[in-house]
Amino acid sequence: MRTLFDWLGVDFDQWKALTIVALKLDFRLSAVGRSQFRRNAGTIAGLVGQFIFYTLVGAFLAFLAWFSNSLFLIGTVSVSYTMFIVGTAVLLDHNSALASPIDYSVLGFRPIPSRTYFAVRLTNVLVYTLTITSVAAWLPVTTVFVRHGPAVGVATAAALFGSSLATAFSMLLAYAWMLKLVGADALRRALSYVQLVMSFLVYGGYFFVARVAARSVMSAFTLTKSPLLLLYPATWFASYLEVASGKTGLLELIPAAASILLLAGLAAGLGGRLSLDYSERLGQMTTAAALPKRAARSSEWPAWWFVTGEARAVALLIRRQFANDQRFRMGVLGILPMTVIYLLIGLRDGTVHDPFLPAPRGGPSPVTMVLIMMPSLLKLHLTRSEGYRASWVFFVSPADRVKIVRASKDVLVAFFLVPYLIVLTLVYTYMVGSLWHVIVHLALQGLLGYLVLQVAMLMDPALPFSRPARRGGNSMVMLVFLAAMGALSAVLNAYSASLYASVQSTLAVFAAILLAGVIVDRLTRARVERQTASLEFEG
Amino acid sequence: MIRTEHLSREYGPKVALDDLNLRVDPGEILGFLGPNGAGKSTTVKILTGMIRPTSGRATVAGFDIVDQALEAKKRIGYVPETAALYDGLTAAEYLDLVSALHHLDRKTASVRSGELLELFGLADERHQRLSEFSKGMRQKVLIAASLIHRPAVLFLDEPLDGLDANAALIVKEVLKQLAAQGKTILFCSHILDVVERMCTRIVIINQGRQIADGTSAAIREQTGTATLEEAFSRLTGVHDVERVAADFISALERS
Repeated sequence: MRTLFDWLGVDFDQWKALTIVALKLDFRLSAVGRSQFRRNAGTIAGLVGQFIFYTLVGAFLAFLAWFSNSLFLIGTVSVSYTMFIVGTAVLLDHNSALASPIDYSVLGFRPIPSRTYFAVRLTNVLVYTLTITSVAAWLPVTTVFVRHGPAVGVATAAALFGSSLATAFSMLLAYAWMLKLVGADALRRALSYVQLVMSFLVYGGYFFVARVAARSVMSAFTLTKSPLLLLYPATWFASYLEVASGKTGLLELIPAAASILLLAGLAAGLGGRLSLDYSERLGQMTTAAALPKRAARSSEWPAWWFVTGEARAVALLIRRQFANDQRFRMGVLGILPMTVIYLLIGLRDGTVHDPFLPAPRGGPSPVTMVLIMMPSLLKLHLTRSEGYRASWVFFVSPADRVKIVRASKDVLVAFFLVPYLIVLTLVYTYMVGSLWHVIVHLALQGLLGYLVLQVAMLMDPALPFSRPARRGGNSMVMLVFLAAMGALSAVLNAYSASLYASVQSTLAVFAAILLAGVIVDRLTRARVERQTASLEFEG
Repeated sequence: MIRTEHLSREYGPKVALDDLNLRVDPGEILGFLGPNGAGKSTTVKILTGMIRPTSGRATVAGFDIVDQALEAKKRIGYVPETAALYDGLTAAEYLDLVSALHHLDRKTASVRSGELLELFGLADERHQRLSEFSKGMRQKVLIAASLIHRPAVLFLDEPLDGLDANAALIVKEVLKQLAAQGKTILFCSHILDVVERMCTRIVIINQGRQIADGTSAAIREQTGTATLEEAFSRLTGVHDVERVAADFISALERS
C-alpha cells in the first residue's frame, strides 16, 4: 500500500491522517454545537434516514430487475439512477469538497504535498459516494443474482460501482479543471456556474431515465437499443449485464470497452498534472477573496416594501448572501436547470398545455412540481450557511425573532418566487398562448407553493443562515420532495380543467387555498413564537 | 533565518506589500508592527507559503518559500490571526493530526501533546470538541500546534489574543526561552508594550512599505518620542489622537 502511494507521489502517513480527520468531520458536521446526546442522536437518525431512503431507491430497481427479462433495460435504468443519486450527492452535498477555504487556512502552511491533499479530497468524496452506491445497490444486485444468475449479479455490481466511480470522477475532474483553467479572481464565481451546468446534466439525465423507464414499463419491461441511446454512458455500463449473460456481440462489447476506457481516462486525468498544483490553485482561490470588489449597491436598492427593521435587515442579508455565499447562490440558481428541463419535457409530453383544457395525458406536471417546491427548497438553503456563526447578531440585538423568521419568508417570496412567477408566466404564455389562463393557473400554483412554504416554516422555524452547513442531508430531502410534489402535481394536472370549468369553482379553489394559508399563518404565529423563543445560537 | 528580498504582493490594482527587505536571525524575536491593512498578514502568509509573492524572493530556514516550499514548511510553526481550526475535532485529535502531518511517531506525539495541553491547563478538556472551546482555549490549542513539531522558525500573528493573563505570561516566557535556544521568531501584535518588552528588534510597515527598523529605543529616538506607542502613531500618520477621538464622539452624537 505504502509503495503504491509512494509511486503515486502521495505521502501515505499524511493521507491516512487527513482522510480519517475528513471522515470524522463529515460524520460530526451535521451536529456541531449541540449537546453530546442530541449530537449523537441527530447523527444516527440522519444516517438511518439516508439508509432507508437509498434502500427504497434500491427496492424500486429490484422490482424492475425481478419483473423484466431485458438485462439491457435493468442495467440502463439501474446505472442511470445510481449516476443520478451520486451526481446529486456530489452536487448538493460535496460541492465545496474540492474547494473548501477552511482547509487552506488550517493546512496551507503545513508541509503537505499538493498531490497528497488532492488524494485526501478524492478519497473523501469516493467513500461517501461508494457508501451511497452500496446501500442503493444491495437489493437490485441480490435480486439480479437470484433471478438472472450469479454471473449477471456480479456484473450488475460492477456496473453500478463502475458508473458511480465514473460519475464522481467526472464531476471532480470538472471541478479540478475549472480550478486550473479559470483565473483565481474569477474562480469562486466560475465554480458556481460549473455547478449550474452540472445541474443541467444531472437533472436532465434523471428525466431522460425516468421517461425511458416509464416508456419501457408500458411496453412490457423492454428497452430497444438504438445508436442514439448507445451514446448515453449509462448504457455502456449496462452492457456488462448482457456480456455476463453470454451475449457478446459488438453492440455489447464495444460499449463495455468504452466504459472501461472512460474510467481509465478519468483516473489518468485525476492522477496527472492536475493534482500537482491543486492546492496552490486552491490557495489562490482563497486569497482571491481579498481582491478589492466592486462596491455593493445595496443601499441604493429600493426595498421600500420592507418597512420594519427586522424585514429590512433580512432583505439586506439575503441579497448580500446571494451575491457572496456560493452555497446559497447555487441553491437558488440550481432551480433554474430543473425549470428549463421540466418546461421542455412538459411541452413535449403534453403536461405544459392550456390549463383550462383537459390534459392531453396524465401524470405529474414537472413545471408544477418545481413551482410548488421552489419556495420550500429556498427555505432549506436559507437556513444553513458556512458563516452560521455570524448569526449571533440575531441573538444579541433587540430584534423580534418571530419577525425575522416571518420576514425571511416574505423576502423569499418577494425576491425569488414573484420574479420567478413572472418569468414563468411569460415563457408559459409564449408556449401555449392564453395569457389569462396562464396567469390564473400559475397564480394558483404560486399560492400552493406559498402554502407549502408556510407549512415548512411551521414545521421548522429557523433564523436565516443560522445553522451549520451539512453534508448528506440535502440530496435526500430533495429526492423525497421530488416524489411528494410529483404526486401533488399529477393530481393538479389531472383536475385543472375541472377546477377552472367555471368562475365559481375557480374562485372556490383560490378561496380554499387562501383560507388554508390564513389558518397555517395563525398556527405559525403561535408556534414560531414558542419555537423562536427557545432558539439558541449554534456557534 | 528569515530573509526577504524586494518582496511584493499585489491584489489586482492594490499593492499590499511593496519591496520588503527583511532579515531575522536565529535567536531574534522580531516585532512586526503596522496599522490595520499595512501588509503584516500578507507578509506572514507569503513567508508561511500560503500565498505567493508577485515579485521578489523569500527564504525561511534557508529554503526558498516558493521553490522549496515543503522543506521550508517542515521547519515552520505558525499561529494565524484567525483561529482557523477544525471545529469537529477534539483538542487531542487536532494535535494528533498536526503531529502526523509532521511525521512525528505516535509515542512522541502523544507525549508532546499531553505536555503542551497540560502546560496550558487544557489536560481535562483534551477530549472536548474545539467547537465548544472559548476563544482563549482555541488560541492555546493553536499555540500548542505551532510548537509540537519543534520548528526552527515561528510566525506568531497576534498570539496573545484572547489568552488569560496567566497563559499570556507563560507564552511570553516560552518565546523568550525558545529564542535563547536559537529559534527565529516573527511576532505580529498590536499590543505595543508587549512588543517593546519582548522583542529584540522592531520593524514597522505602513501601506505595504517598511518605514522603520531597529530596537525600540532607536525607533523612539529616531522619531523624537517618549514611548513606542507615540512613535508608532507618528510614523503611521496619526498625529493628534485626542482630536480624532473627539471627532469620532461628535460624529456618534450627531447621527
